Amino acid sequence: MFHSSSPDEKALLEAAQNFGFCFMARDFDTVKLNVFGKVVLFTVLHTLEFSGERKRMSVIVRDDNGRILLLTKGADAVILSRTAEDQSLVSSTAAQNQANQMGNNCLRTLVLAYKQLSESYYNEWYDSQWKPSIEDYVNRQNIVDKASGIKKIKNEISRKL
Amino acid sequence: MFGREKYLYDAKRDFKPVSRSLNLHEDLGQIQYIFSDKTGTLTKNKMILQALNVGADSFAHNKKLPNLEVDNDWKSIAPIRNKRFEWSDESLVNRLKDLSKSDDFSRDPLFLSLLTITLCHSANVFDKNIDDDTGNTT
Repeated sequence: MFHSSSPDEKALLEAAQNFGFCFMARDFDTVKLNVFGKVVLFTVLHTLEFSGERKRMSVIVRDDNGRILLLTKGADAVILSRTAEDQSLVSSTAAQNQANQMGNNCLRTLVLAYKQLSESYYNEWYDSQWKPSIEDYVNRQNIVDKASGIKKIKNEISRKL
Repeated sequence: MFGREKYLYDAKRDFKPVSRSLNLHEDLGQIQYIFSDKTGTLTKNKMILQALNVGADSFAHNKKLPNLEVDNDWKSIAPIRNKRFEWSDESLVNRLKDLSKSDDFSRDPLFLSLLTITLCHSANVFDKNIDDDTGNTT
């Protein structure tokens, strides 16, 4: 049903499907999901591909309410070092402990994080970072937060694109 | 001798160790620690979700417990399922049932986690019309 070069992604998608979040289709810039029995469309504004160097993958999507979200999935150390300090959901230390514990049980661990981007922040990022990055091969990318925390942004220079 | 080592005998497959090189025994006798990459090297790299932590909430599948029965509530929140997937932790399913009934779940951490799983990936659907569990088309 799902085809991915990464078995992790396949496993996650299969699990999510059983929990009421089904990835239905991908179009040029649209992803169709079935969430709790209803079809929901998301516009994928950007995909920041996984690389061994970045150890994470991010997408910037717009939901059907116009909300812009940055969603990230990656290695625990990489994601947790980028989370907001003042987030409410879980501290990065606590999350790191959870990840270590799962790792000790021989589980492969991944950390998810998100950040809601304001329209103005996104536009500013797009003009100042994304556009130039395409032009001069420098992708300075704004980054994310914890498994659902929020806030603060860190910048990064990676030789991508 | 090596072939008769009872600790290396696999009763399930009735399989004894087979020696393909003579220096192997000597090397093996000197090994004290084995370091291995746990993903894909010794395993088959067939991944299945086992546990999920969202904030302070931990959800985990326990192989010793029976799989949850899919009831009508669960069918309505997850109409497209895959019967190969096993899950024994009722607390996650109950959280999802509550979530699906709430007015606005768009900021719920569990919702956002599952959204990240379904949106942040490079996978594709190769046969979207077949539902493994019910055979329904979607």
